[in-house]
Parts: sequence; C-alpha cells; structure tokens
Amino acid sequence: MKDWNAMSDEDFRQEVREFFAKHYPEHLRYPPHRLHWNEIGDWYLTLSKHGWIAPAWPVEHGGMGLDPGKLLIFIEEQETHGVARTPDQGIVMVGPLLIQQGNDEQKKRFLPKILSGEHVWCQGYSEPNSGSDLASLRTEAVLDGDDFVVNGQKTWSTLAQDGTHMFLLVRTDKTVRKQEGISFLLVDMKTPGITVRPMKILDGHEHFCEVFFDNVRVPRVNMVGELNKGWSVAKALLSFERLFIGSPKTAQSALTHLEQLARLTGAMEDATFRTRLMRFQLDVADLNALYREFSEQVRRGEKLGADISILKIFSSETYARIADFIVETGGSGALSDGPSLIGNEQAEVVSAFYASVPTTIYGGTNEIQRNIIATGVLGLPSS
Amino acid sequence: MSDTATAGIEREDLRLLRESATAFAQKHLNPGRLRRLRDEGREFDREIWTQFAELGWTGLMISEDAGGFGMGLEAAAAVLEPLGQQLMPEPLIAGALLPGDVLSRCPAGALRDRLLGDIASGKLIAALAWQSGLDPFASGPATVTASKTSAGETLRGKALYVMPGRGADGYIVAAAKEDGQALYWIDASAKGLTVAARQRPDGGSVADLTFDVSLGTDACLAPPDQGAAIVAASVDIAAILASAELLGAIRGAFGITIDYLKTRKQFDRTIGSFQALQHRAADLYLKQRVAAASLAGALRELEQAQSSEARMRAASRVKIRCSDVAYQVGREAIQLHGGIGYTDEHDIGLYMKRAIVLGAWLGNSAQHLRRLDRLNRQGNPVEARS
Repeated sequence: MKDWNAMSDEDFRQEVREFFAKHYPEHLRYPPHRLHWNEIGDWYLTLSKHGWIAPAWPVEHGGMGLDPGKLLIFIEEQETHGVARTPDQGIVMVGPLLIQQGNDEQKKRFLPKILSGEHVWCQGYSEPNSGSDLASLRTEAVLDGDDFVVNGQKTWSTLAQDGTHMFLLVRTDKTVRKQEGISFLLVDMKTPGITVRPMKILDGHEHFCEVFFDNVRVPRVNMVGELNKGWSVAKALLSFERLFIGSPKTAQSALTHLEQLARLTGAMEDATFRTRLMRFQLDVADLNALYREFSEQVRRGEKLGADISILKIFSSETYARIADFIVETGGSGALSDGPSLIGNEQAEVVSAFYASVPTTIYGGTNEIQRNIIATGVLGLPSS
Repeated sequence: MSDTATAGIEREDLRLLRESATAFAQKHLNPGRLRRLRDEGREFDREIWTQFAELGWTGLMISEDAGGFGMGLEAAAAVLEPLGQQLMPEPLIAGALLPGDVLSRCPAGALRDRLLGDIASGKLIAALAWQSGLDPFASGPATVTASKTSAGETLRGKALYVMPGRGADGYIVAAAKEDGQALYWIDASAKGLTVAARQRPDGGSVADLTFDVSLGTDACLAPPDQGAAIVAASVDIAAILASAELLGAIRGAFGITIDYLKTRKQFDRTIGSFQALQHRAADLYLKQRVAAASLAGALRELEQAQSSEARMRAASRVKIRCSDVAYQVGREAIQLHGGIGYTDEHDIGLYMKRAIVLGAWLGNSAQHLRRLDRLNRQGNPVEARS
C-alpha cells in the first residue's frame, strides 16, 4: 500500500493529475448535472480497482488515508479536470458512520461492498411533513420477532432509483420526546414492499425520489446503534454530511466553469469582471483553508462541533454566488436550457444555477444552520 | 533572512507565546486605556513599550545574532492577535516589527546592527518612510530624492503617511537615485527634517515628513539596487502582521457584540433571542472564522513561498480578507448596539476606527486587488490555495 501522505504535495498533485488524465472518460468531463449509475458507474469501478474510491477513509478500512492537505489537492485536481461526482453516499456517509459507530459484523458485511461498488447507497431521512423539523418523522418500524416492519414514506432521496441500499431513520417509540424514539436502519432496496418514484427537478432531470414502505421487513441486525438512539447516530452522520457538503468541491467546480466561460466570452478583458472573479477566487481559497481546519479535527479523531454549520453555509453560499455570476456572465446564453454557442464552442450557462439551488436547502437549510450557530455555538437564548 | 521571513517554530512555543500575550493584554491593555491615552494627548506609553521589549516582542522577528529572538512571522502573528483584541495603542508593527524586518534585509553594517539591537532592546522606536501617494503599490513619481554632495548626500522631498506619526526616534527613508531606490537612516532630531503629524481615527497618529537633510556617508542602509525590493518584501510581511492584529480586533468587536445581545432587554426579552438578530450574529461569526482561516492559509502559503510573487499573493489574500471583515464586522457591531454604539464612551466604536486604520494601512483591499490583477495579467493565473 502506497503512503500517499509521505509524498511531496507537488509529486502527489502530479500523480493525481496524471491519473485523471489517463483514466477518466473524456466525454464525461464537466457534466452539467449529476450523473446516474448507468453513466458514471464504470468510473466508480475504475476508482475502486485502483484503490482510489475512498480518499478520506483510513487505510486499514481500504481507503487512501489522505491527510487534509492531500485531500484538498485531490479535490482541486478532480474539479479542475471536470471529474463527475459518483453515487458516493456509501463513501462519504455510510462508510465513515459504520467505521465510527457500526459493530464488527456490520463493518465486515458492508464496508467492502461499498468499496467494490456492489452496494450503492441512498438516504431515507426527510418526509413530506418532516423537513427542517426532521425529528418529527413518522415512518414507523415495529419489532416483530427478529425483524422490524416498516411503514411510511421518505422523500428527497437523491438517486434512490440507482440505490441498492438505503440508510433510514424510523420511529420506534411514539410515547417519548420526538428525538428519543428514533432508530437507524440499513435496508436492502430489493426487499418486498418498497416502491421508488423518481421526481423531476428544476433542470428536468430525475434527481430525487419518493420512497414508499409498505410492510417492509428489515432484520434487526441491520440497526446501527441502539434502539431509540437513532437520533444521535443521525446527528453524527449530519456532521459528516456537513463536512462533505461543506467541501470546496462544488464552489471549485463552479469557479472552473466561470473561468472557462470567461475565456470564451472575452470577459477577462473587463476590469470589473476580473475584480469580481478575483474575489471569488479568494473566497474559494479561504473556503479551502476553513475546510482544512475541520478536516484536521476529524483526522485527529475529535468530534465535530456545532460550528461545522459555518462550513456548510460558506461553501453553499459561495457556490450559489458564483453560479449567479455564471448566469450573468453568460448573457443571452441563459436563454438556452442546455448548451449555447459561445465564441466557437458549446457552453452551459443555466446548469450552474440549477445545480447550486439545492445546496442551500439540503443537509439542513442555511436558515437552520444559522439557528444552530446562534444557539449552539454563540449561546444566544432560543427564540 | 530568507524572502519568506519565517523560521521554523514549534506548535508548543506558539501556544505559549499566544498565552503570555493574552495574559499580558488582559492585564495591561483595554479599549478604555486607549481612550484615556488619546484624551491625554499621549497616544501610547513608552513604559509598556519597555515591557514589550522585555517580553521579547519588539525583537521577535530579529535574528538572535542581532539581539532578537529569531522566531519568525507566525510567532509575531500569534502575539499580535491578542494584543489587537484589546486595542493595543502601541505601534508594535509600525515602530518595531516592520522597521526590524526592513533592517534585517539590509546588508550588515555598524549602523544597521546598532539599530536592530536598539529595536530589540526597546530603546528605539523606528518608522519606515516610503509612501509617495495614496496607493502604496501604484508606481508614481518619486517624492523623495537623494543626491551626492561633497560631504555626503542630501535628501529632499516629502514622504507621506508615516506611522507612528509621533514618538518615532528615527526614520528609515526610501529615496530615489538615478539607479534605483536607496534606504537611509535619519534621526528624528536631524536638522532639516519636518514632521507634520495628524491624529488618526483610532487615536494614534500619522505624519507627512519633509526633508532637506544633509547626510554623512554612513547613513545609507541599503544601496539603490536593493532598496525597493527590501521595502516591497517588508511591507508584505507587515501586511500579514496587520492582518493578525485586525483579526484580534475582529474577535474583540464580535465578543462585545455577542455579550450585548445576551444582556440588552427590549420588549421584555433579551434582544439576542430575536431570530433576525441571531442570523446576523451567525453571519458575523462566520466572517470571523473565515478571516482566521485566511490568516492560517496565508501563513502556510508563505512558508512554502519560493518567489516574491508567491509572497505578494499570500499577503494580498489575507490583507484583503481581514481588512474587509474587520470593517464589515465593525459596522454591523455598531448597528447591533443601536444608539449607544455611536457614542465615544462605548468601546465598540473604537474597534471600528481601528478597523478603518489598519484596513487602510499597507494597502487597502481595493489596492491589493488591483495588485493581484496586475500579477494575473503578467500571465500567472491564480492557483487554488489552501
């Protein structure tokens, strides 16, 4: 096993750059929207084959074990090359959670199959009436012998139509405070009684799904953590999620998009444009530095605190501001819902807007994140 | 000294330095002291300066050979942040760290070595006179020139925006010659030197110097082929230090404001319980954290910087961020205080004024952005940094 962290930053950057140039399919560079498994699955398997699928996982669990500095280089190179995001919820969510809170049997059963791409994970958190107030969720699981029987409905499950497994929050006690009656289950999507209905989003693609559960039997051994302690499992996962969605990845990719567009439109000749571009470049540089602080905390084995919410806010709002600037810079190119002819090339304009919109909503809206900072970090009284 | 002006320093040493600066600041410094010194027309206190020197702070970045501690930029930043948080009136950067860095880059010599030793010991407060216009990075006609005479040289002209404006014992002056820019030392008492000092918004002072001064041959600190590069490098280092002091001021203004939100009652409620204000407080917190991350990022960048361009980029990055955040946080903090924030008796306004001064000094954010633009236009696009 290669010790990536022992390499110099420059050597590592060079190796990552060469890897993407050599292995990543040219026709999938800079995709304007999230890709499905039938489009990007081969790339997942390529990464898996070379041991590159889990850059942040510890080496003993099959990851690359990159330290935060190296991980940032990895992300930068990935976004500069225009590498698409894979269906990565197993890698960024379930894996780290099981490593931290799963039992040995669960780790053995699930981790290798995440790495190999045999299992593709999706999330079952939100419900039609439980959005920001997630803990009010009502999808119910009742113990019957060695199984739970699950009934209810989940929504906003990203790419659930491609998922082989779902991690799911369920109500297991209705008689106690809402946070104290929730459990965390791992579900095989082939189990009878599960119906997946894709939903079209603003860009016309089927990105999210509604998932219905009708007497779905889930083995008790698939519960992570203890019965009715699922909320604390979910909260641990939420901080991984905030670290992941707080990564500079999306803002970095939008910046690359903006710079490419500017070269095509000739905007670089305009001093006002350049000033605004530089401000975004500085924002992304400082976002990198902030991300690094939190990543280093994780690497030292410390629990992430409520202050991780600032990373989610800064990352998603930087992304959204750059996306808005892409739309402005694209001018009449925004009249096309797909690529436009700009200069002598085809370029997307509105796709950046579409992709950035959900980031300030999902993973806890940015308004909820600000509430968390005010009360959980600054100690202001609850309103 | 290397171009990066950093020296390797252990985490533990940094922590101890930061702690001792925090303890000192809490005991001896506070916004009320700044106000009192200002009102007494004293500006800053030479006795405290002596204590700075005893703690090693005036010579923190000066090499051990020259009488300092040789601890580098990161150490100086660690000390400045807590001092900035209590609105230190003493010009630690302008009067010691900046001139010390300039001198450290000058060729060794009797004059240079004496000045470095005296800065480290606290005996000497020096100032750098280098600016000729409103934008320190714009190339304009030189306003100070040096010309040869039979007995040595004569310095003529005007240097602008010199800090500290009052209380400096002497000046390092950048003067144009036919073949570049040389650096000279001029005592504050020199014949033919006029110092026109003005009060700054934050209670300190800034001065315009007029020279018609005859110098001996021993007053030259750096020859014409070196002066400009030395000043440029040291000004970047000082811009990073000023960013650390700004970060302290940001923390101070933020802390006072959160305390106020927790105690002030209106409509029978603590105003910090209103969600509209909570979200604004959260945004201030975010800005403060981004400014801190930017400083850490710039220090890391500088540690790896191989070129003067990398140094300029690191300095501009953090000076832009900390200047802007300090200004924004200061203004918002006053607004969250309401009417009391507009009075001289409340401390929050003093933080805003410090943000204005440190933001404008050593290049404000717009000037640093223009400089970055010039670097980019020379064909060196910005790489993403961490």
